[in-house]
Amino acid sequence: MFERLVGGPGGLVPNAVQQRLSAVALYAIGALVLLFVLTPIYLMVVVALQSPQTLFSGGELTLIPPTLTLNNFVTLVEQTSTVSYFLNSVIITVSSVFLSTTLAVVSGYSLTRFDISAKTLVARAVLFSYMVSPIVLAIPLYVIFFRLGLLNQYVSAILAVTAISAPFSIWLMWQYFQNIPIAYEESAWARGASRWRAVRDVVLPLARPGYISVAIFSFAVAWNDYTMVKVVLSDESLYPLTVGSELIFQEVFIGWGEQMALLFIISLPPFLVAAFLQNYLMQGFNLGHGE
Amino acid sequence: MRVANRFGLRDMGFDRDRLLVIVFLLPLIGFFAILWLVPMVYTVWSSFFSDPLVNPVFVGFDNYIAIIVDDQFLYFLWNSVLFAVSTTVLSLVVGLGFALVVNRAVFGGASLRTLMIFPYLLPTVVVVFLWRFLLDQNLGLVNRLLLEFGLIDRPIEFFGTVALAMPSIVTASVWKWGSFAFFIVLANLQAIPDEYYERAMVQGASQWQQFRDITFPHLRGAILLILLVRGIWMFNKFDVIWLTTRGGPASVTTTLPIRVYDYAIRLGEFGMGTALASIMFVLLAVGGVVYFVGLNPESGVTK
Amino acid sequence: MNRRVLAWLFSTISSAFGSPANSVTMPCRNGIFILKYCLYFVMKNKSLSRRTYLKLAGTAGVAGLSGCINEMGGTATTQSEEGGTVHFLNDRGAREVWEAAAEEFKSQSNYEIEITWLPKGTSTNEQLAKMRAAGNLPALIFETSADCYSETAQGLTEPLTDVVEELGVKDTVNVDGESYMVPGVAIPLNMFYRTDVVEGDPRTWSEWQAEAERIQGETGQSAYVVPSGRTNAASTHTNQILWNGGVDPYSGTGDVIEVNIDQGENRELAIGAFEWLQTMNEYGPQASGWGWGDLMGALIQEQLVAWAGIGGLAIQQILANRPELAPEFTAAPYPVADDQDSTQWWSYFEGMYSYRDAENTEGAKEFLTFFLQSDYYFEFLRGTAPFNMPTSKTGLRDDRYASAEVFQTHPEFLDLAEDNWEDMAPVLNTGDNRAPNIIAANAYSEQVHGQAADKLLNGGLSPEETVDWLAENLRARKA
Repeated sequence: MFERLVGGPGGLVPNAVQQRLSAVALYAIGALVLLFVLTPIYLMVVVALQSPQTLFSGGELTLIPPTLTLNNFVTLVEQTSTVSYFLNSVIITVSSVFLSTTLAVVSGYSLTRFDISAKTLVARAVLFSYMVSPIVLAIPLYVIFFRLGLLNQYVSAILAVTAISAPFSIWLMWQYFQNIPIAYEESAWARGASRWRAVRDVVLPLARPGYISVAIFSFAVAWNDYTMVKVVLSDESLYPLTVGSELIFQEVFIGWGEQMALLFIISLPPFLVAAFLQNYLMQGFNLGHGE
Repeated sequence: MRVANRFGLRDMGFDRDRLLVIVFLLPLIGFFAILWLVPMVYTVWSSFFSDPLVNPVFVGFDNYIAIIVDDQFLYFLWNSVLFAVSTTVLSLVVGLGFALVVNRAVFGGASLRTLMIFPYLLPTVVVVFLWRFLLDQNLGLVNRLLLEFGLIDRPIEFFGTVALAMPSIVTASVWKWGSFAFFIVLANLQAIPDEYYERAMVQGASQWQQFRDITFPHLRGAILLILLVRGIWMFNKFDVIWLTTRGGPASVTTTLPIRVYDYAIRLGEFGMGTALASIMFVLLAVGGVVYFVGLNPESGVTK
Repeated sequence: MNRRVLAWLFSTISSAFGSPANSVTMPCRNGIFILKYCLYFVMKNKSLSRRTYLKLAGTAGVAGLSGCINEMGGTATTQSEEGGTVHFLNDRGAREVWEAAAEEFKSQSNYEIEITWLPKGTSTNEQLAKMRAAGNLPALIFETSADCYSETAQGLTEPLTDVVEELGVKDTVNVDGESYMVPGVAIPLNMFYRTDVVEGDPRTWSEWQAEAERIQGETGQSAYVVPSGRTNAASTHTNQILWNGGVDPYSGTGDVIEVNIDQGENRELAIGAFEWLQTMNEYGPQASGWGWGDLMGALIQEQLVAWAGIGGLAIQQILANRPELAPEFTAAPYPVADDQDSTQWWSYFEGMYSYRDAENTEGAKEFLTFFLQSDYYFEFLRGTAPFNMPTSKTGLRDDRYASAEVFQTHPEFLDLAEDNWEDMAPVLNTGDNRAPNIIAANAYSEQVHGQAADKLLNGGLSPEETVDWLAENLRARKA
């Protein structure tokens, strides 16, 4: 397709021009996307750090504040349950990420390496489970948790949230492990390594971008979760930020500044996760071709 | 003997490792299977009753018929499809485009990646709040800029204007879910060895040829996967639309999940709600089957 | 294997429908059973050493047992037979105050109050749907009078007549002589405007029209906004304006309500009201789909200098976001048509009621009597004054409420309420002599009046057509 135009030597558009065009196009795209992504974030930060005096002075939103203040955060910490909600979110999310990633790696590996019958069907069934609307699932789920006596406990929230991220995580790792040829393990086995050592030293490093992706995905599901948590938890002291923030927004002393400050707090761990883990996505590239 | 234990050679023999793994997995997978299966069965079961929670009366397929013959059903279905398709496709475009950029970037790659992954990790509540603020008719930046540059003379109420409500929701959705496509595509891009490109350059292949013959085939599986998974997810998406417009104005953003919520929670008609959810499931399942049969996203990687 | 699994699955599901009974322990026992069965199956088909089987069975047993222990250590929310727990679904603020009240109550009663905190909005409906499905109804719930009425009509609520009488609060849900709700807060509508921009003290429609025109010409700001669409803001506003235009929309009681809005003199007055709204819409921003938050934003941003809405909420938001503007604002009655008197004043009345089938409704009643007379109640109200108001006339003047800071600078909120106490009523109580009006309540929950305003201002209907549309849609709301 398009050979005459953009084919190799002999095509109408020389490669040098193509290279330049694609560079320009890519940088243009990059700039646009950057602007798109950055603007809301900038707004959040700039509003969170202003006091009512400067925020709407003159009737308009101040974009470049003359002074910055941490008052909004102080209000949140002192007058609301923000800290408690934050800790709950961390507990639930960290546990769920760990559980989901482990489950995905073990299951994904087993699905590729072990001969389990009907595994394609099982793997596809996994995707089909996402096709039911969670709104109606919430009610029977509540009944189940209620009957099992699992309401209002961290464990239940963790399991509930993992149940959402697990299917896709398993699928992801299964796909990823399929891309790692068994030859690597075989050569390790030939050198006398046990299966476990082969996995640990050869397969896992190769799979790193895969399970990092899974970790990121399950983090997003867990940190973001609202529906499952609401099914399982009705004790306010256990609420994570997603549910608790609604309660905070309702308070009459909360203005725009405090609301943005709360959003900032909710956004901080995701930012840290993104900053910390994206590096590993990059590293996987190098390790994958060391052999 | 260990080497001989690998699969294919010992079908009927036992594999200790395998059993250990299965025993570890089974309780968890069993628990999750229950968490998914039982509610699904309960949901389908409820859809055949008129008031399943308080006073169940068996009505057979009445709920289903009532939903399908409702003259707005096709309209809501169309809204759902429109939302799902536009969000998914645009997310893919944004994610793919930016992944290509980041893959090439010589400097600043780390911060670009951070920035791009970040929106996906934010709760929907945060995303909605930020975008409502940005597009607010009184306090929002977008309206202010449009007014200042003289492009409009009265502020636009993005989420309240019939023609703009859905595009606004799609924009906010793409802002968040474009990053999902981004990091899946990026992970796959980075797995393509440099040598392929080097060899192609030596052989005189052009940029376009390289993209077409090296990059794209490696991404095909990932792209198809993203389309399927995000498509399903967006079809069932409730919170983004509910938090921004509640399905308005004048029902232009009312999708099927919103209807399910209306039936099940607002109107207390759980039977109708579950019937609609079941219809949605069937639609998605049919779509999924067609997808797998027609497009076969696993070709070349099934082992 | 398949039959056993299916049987277990079905028994779990059917127990979800049936009574709680001993279904708590059933999945636990069956869980262990399933695990052991799977292992047995595995052992049969592969040659497994006895040692390995025992090891695996042991692991399975421990896993199953720990699951059971976990379930037995669950919170008391599942077993309401353990005497005296009153479940309370609460979506209000000032949580610490309520919790402190519950603490003190525990020390003087056999009953214990367990509060589940929910955000406002449909969360309560969601939670109720789940609890109802599980057979775990709360004994106490904080909701609107309209919700209470519709559930009472279905026979689901517990009579609270003695409590209402003892407390002397407004009786907002009275069916067949029994009272079903103890109102906790009254939230009236009022006009809220800037005295530094708006001159004179406009009270009538023509006065407001003149001011709106003047201000728009001089500063470009808006002195009025007509919200429309499926929002509470739009529905309350449209309703109140119709009343203030002299329209008497309903007659009858209960669910035998006649809609009179398009009959005789009412029709002319209603058309006049919609005409006035059309005119006033010229002076204000396009407010289709605006909720309370959007209207508040317009006030904060000073685009709007006067608002017919909930002044109590507005002053709170101004204090939080533009404190320097707060002293300029004042509250007043809604604009009235030039030749009319206002006799009905829309006030949300929200409060607590109980479900007949819940556990420990006696404890709920005890708590209500205790709470509404305690200092805690007034502390709760004071924290959100003047948005939340007491629900009895004595409560209004009680020093524990009147001492709120906001009343030092804005006493007019209290004065308005006291002077017009008799006129204050929720939309539910608009039948003859404040009798319940289920059509009005249903119409409100579906935002019919807000939609009517939308049809008038954005849907191209004339005032006459709007009146007819409204009448038709109100009649369609019979129960």
